[in-house]
Amino acid sequence: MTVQELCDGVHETWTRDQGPGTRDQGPTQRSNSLGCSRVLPLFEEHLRCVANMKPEELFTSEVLLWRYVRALACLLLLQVIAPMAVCNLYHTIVAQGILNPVIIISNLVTSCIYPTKLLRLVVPAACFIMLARIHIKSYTVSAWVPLNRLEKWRRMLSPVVIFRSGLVMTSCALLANFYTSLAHPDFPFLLMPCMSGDIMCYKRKSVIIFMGAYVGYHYAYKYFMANGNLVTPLPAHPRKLQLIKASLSLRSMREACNSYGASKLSFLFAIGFYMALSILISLVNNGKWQDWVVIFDLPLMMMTLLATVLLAISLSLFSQLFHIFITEPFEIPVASAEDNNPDADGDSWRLCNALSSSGILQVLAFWDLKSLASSDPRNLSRRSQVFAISQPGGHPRNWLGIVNPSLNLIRKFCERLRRQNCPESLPSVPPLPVETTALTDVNKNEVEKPPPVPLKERVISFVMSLKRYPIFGYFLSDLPDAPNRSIFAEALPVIWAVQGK
Amino acid sequence: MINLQYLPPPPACGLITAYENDGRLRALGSREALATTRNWLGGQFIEVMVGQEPVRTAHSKQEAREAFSAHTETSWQRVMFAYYEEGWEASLEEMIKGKDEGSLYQVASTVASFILKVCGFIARAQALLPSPKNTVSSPITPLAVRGSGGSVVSVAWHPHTNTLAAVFCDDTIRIFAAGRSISPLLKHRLQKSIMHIAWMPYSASLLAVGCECGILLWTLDPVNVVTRPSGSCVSLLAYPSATPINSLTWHPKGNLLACVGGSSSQLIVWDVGREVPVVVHSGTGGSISLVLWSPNSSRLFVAYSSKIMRVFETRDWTYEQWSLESPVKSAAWSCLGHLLLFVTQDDPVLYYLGFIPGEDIGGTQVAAQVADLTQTLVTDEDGEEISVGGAVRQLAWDPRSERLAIVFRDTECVVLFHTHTHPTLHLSPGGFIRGEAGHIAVSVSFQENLCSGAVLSVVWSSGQVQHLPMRYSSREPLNSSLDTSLFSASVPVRVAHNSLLNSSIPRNTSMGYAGSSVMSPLIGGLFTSP
Repeated sequence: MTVQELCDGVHETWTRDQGPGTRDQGPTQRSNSLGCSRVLPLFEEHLRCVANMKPEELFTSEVLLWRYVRALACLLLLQVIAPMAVCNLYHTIVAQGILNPVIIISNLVTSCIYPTKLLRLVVPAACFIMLARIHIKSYTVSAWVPLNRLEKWRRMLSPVVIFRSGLVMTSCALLANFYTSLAHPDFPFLLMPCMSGDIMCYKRKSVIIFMGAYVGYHYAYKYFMANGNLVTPLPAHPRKLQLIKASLSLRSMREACNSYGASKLSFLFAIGFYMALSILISLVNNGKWQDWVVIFDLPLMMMTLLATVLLAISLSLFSQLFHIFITEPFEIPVASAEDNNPDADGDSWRLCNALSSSGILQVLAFWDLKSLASSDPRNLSRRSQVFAISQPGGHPRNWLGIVNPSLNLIRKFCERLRRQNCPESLPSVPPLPVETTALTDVNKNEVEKPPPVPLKERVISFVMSLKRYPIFGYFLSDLPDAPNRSIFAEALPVIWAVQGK
Repeated sequence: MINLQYLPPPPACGLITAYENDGRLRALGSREALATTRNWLGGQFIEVMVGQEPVRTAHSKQEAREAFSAHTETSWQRVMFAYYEEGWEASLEEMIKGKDEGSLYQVASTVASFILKVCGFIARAQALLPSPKNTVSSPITPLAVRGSGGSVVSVAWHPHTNTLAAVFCDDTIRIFAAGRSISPLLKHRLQKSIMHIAWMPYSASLLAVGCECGILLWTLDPVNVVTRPSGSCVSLLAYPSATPINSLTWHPKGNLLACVGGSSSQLIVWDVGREVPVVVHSGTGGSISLVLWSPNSSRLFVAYSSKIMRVFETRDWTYEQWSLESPVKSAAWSCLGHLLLFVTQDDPVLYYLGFIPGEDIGGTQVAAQVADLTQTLVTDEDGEEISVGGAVRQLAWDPRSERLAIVFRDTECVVLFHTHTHPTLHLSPGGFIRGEAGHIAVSVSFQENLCSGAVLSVVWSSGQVQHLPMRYSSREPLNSSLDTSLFSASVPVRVAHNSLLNSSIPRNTSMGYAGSSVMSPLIGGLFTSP
């Protein structure tokens, strides 16, 4: 493959990856193609590196990375600018009592360019980058199905989940504090010290931080324990703006508030819990418990509610937008220019290699295969490539390249199902070779030595025996239909493989 | 442009159209017609039988309590019972009804009256605000209301098997299959105000029912002998802002289901297997009344209750929009998905749009008028005058796009055209389909799994379902491919998103009658962009 071809291929892939935006991105494409031809020597080395990459690496570096960047940019735009505007309006209208629309608008505009406000953006930006990092590291393409409660608890108490949940809670607490500091002058930012004697300042900060962490905890639990980190392609892919608009609907926001602890009941529960905890700590430290009753003032409650609602909506948007950007479908070339080159590396950027990969690339490849198999006349040219035969030789390489990974996946899936449903029909394990030095009894007759049981099996049998006891049985007994559910959780690419053939 | 005067005269009063042979519709007496249909269809004949029990209309339900004698409880007890059974609002209403129960009760009654008035005021204020929950403004009427008093109001053929689903006026559905004596009854407490039903393609057992609460998916085992499938056979796909369902349509491959509903303009696409919805479009235009997936799956037709319609391409879900003089009433895609016929609510004219295969949407700039369906008087075979045409209720095109049936709202005859879509659309007169005297056609549906010919099922206002076999030799095999070059030469691509429906097309300039004197071949030159 020549560098020019590779450049064209990467460029083609990139423009296809733009997906729904191709219609109105003509100038961008033109500038890209012009740039590619002009600065070709500069990128020669880079393209050589790209050519040597495996499909997963190429996908990660050339596609996924930019999706992360675009998702983060969109999130920052939506979730910092929009809440800032809401908080600024609240500050102007409620806190300052100004109803003049001219002043409201001028305040809104100046808040965006005010240096101190801009400096504060560092904190939410850092929070969002932290959240984005967690999302990038934690998303999965197949649902997690715990087989028993022990597995559930093990995941919940695993250091990785605890650490990441802690980061989510910290980010949420900082964001809640940031939102309230924007909305009301009585709520200083966390990094700004409280004035001496202002006991309410500390209490307000602590309440806001607690509620932020509370929402963060809800989100982290849903994310890590209830498959909130599952990303699968949507049934249909309109423009991203449409999907974002749909995720901004009132219904979605209400669902987000109910899911992430910003509903009325959950809010009261959290405040009540915080009060009880604070009073308990006061009593232990011989303080006055009446001091904590002062947090029941209206502005604080309103601000807390505003912050939790904004936070719940922000987190929901974060999850949805990340999902939208990551799972955007793209076309993978069925045959590449290097197919005619017999010396070419087998790991080229082709559909057959992507189908054999794993993770999100495999899912998107099977999605592409499914759409390729549809009767849409726009797929005719790509479909003809699938059935093309090689020249010379006349081998259906493209067809076999698609069929083999698909059949392998289906075969593995069927094997797992068969193993689960009919374990007795599996071929028996061949007996271990008998040792040459046979044992003898007292009469010098040879006695067959029982084969040694592997340690793993002994541990398993020991654990199984523990199930008889109620305490251990609670943790170790299988959850209803969990093995089948765990198998079917990975069935999506299999279904698309079947539909694609 | 063809009109109804070109059609052969309708059969005489007392005769009903029985079958089509050699391109001509034949009429017989009702018994002979039924016998002929049985004879022609043989084992594939399905008789939609209504049981002996009277079918109660879903919209004339009465409260069960009205059947019982007067109560003897005290007013306070009645208030408590009303609260337990129907909530606090009913208890307040019950409180107002009570009289002469003492001063305390009078005070409570006054307070209850005041509270109810406040609630009524708030409800009226809420009704003025645009809300997805405001279902009253939904312009689509349920099938049971659209029927004219008969027990059966609509039928839907399975795309691949000899199975027919019939919607009854009491919001139940019965499944009739050829050669099976058992007809399962589909009834569910959520199945109210059925708007639309559709069988899932490539599945023998899945029926989608669009109703008030959303889409009910019935999974019916074809070999099951259960006459009343249980609630476990139903799953509900509900998108709150898009209920009640106005219309639904399956993707031709059956994996996706598009639906619209309520007063919202949201177009929802469901992945039925995963039960995941996506709002692929939400914008202006008012509520959506009709949605129709093209047979080649590349386009989706969407008609709004306002005077616009859109065609989406189903990859990126971009759309082209056409402005109309009246909202669309009914539409039908050709078998290859390159032609769209539609009628509007007020204009008795049949329009069509052409689409360039392979393009994103590729719709023609203007819709062309194909047939004039204005209400007119024609003489039947006995020489009596009969009114035909007028406002259209439904269009139905057979799976090979060779027969087009048009049902009218006010006149009793169904109009049948012979159509040919390749290379251009040709309409030739087929005839009038007439039922028994005074019976108006409510809905029609073509059987979809036939290798040759067609069977049209007509639901008459009396509730009878008549099957009309049509024997003819097909010009094209089903799902044949289309040569794109035929269109690229003659039909210009639309470029603008907003174009008015051009009702002043120079009709005579490009109408070349070929073959028969009443043929109306519409050629590509008709679509020249203004």
